[in-house]
Amino acid sequence: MTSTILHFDLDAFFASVEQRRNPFLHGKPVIVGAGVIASCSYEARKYGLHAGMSITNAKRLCPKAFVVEGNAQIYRCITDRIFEMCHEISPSIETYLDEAYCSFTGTELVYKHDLAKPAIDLKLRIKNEFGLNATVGLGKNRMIAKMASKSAKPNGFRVIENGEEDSFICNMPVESLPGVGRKVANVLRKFNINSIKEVRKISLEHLQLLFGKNGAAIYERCRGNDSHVINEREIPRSISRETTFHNETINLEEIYGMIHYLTERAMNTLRALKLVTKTVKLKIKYADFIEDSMSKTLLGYTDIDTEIIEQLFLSLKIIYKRRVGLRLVGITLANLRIDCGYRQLQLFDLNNRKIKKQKLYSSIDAIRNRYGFSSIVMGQSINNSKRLKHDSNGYILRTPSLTK
Amino acid sequence: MLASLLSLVNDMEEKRLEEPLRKILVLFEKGIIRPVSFQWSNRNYTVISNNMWWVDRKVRPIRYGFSVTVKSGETFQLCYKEGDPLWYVETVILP
Repeated sequence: MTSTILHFDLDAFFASVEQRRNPFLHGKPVIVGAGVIASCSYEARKYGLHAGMSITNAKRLCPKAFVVEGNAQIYRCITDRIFEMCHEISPSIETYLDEAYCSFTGTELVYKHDLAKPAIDLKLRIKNEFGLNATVGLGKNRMIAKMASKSAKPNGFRVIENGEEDSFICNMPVESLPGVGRKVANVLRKFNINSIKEVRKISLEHLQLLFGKNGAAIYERCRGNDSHVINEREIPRSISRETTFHNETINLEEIYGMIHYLTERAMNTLRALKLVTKTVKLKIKYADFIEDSMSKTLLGYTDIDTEIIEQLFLSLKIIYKRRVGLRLVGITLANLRIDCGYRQLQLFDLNNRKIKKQKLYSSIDAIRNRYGFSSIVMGQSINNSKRLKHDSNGYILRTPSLTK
Repeated sequence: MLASLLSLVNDMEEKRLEEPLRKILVLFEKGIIRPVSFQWSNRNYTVISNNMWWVDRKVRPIRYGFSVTVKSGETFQLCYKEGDPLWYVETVILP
């Protein structure tokens, strides 16, 4: 059974949707974002605009660009429908914001080895239904499929047949290899290594010496090998919540209250995604913009708020040493994995306190889902009740804490 | 009248209205829903182009969104909620 993966990427997705929604924008440079560019049309890219650039800079480079804030809800509806289409042609798909991998492994009898047909059909359906362009790549694994589609952008289609992988990737620049960012590329360039072909000449030991674990991955990838399988579920790398205080504060009660609240929000998301976490990070920013953070890996995976909060409070005691007010706190849950249902029980936990706590938190989540997040205020979060306004969705923070 | 409703602070700011429509003529054809004409604020609008449509199945009731451009040049975003006999004008953008 041969493995074939399809990768598709919607071209300048947010900007293209805005151009479709509002024909006045068609053919004009369009920027979607607030503060920074989330997406920009190909007309805007001609001026050197790209995602992540500040809109002030972008306007300087391209004064004629039209800025729209965008509408995440519409983008989600459109991708939901497109991913449904993917499910119709593939038994297993892995989805991201505006791209997806579809596995065709095991479909040889259905498509009679002509996988270009469903790929082109998908492209046409996206065009007919939404008027959007997608670039599609087909290859023996995820990496080759993604590199194929990247090389065919915009609105292209490229198939890398079995056996063609070597000639396809050999002459590409090192940056086009997944896992090779600016830092790694700069190190390689210092050794006058510019193409993937040249990376292949480096031994595994040398790559590991230079880049650690990533070195072994680069060694495999530059040979066209990628062992990543298609995961139906996207597991986020981390879940973070951070916010700025309305006024800088040294009031520990307020700081603990905010950390408690942010943790509750993050843990609520964690449990909704049926994940567990093992690493927690606390970040603080002083009034003079100096930042500090502390990361801690727990003994085991957990989805219980109190275990995380306890650790974060300890971290705060360690890192908050200066007699300067704080302007920002943030927490991050990392090292996530799917909750497989079983837990390491503690030897002396005779009253099954952990299991009871899990039941408690799942009941709290159920109540919050039904009556709103602020229907239950827990622990030190109550410290915020006099300082912050709230609605049914919780406290109204100065900056949205819903970053991921 | 439309100009007074809009405050184009940003280049393309949309004005959210969420106003029910008095009358709307919609064509349901081969699984596709296409607004044809509607009456809003005592004016009749004829749709000249159905730009895009989408369905939000994650909310209850399920919402259908339509972006249409009318003869006079404005682009409207219309909305229909499943089970609700009313259609709404959600946003309007001037040409």
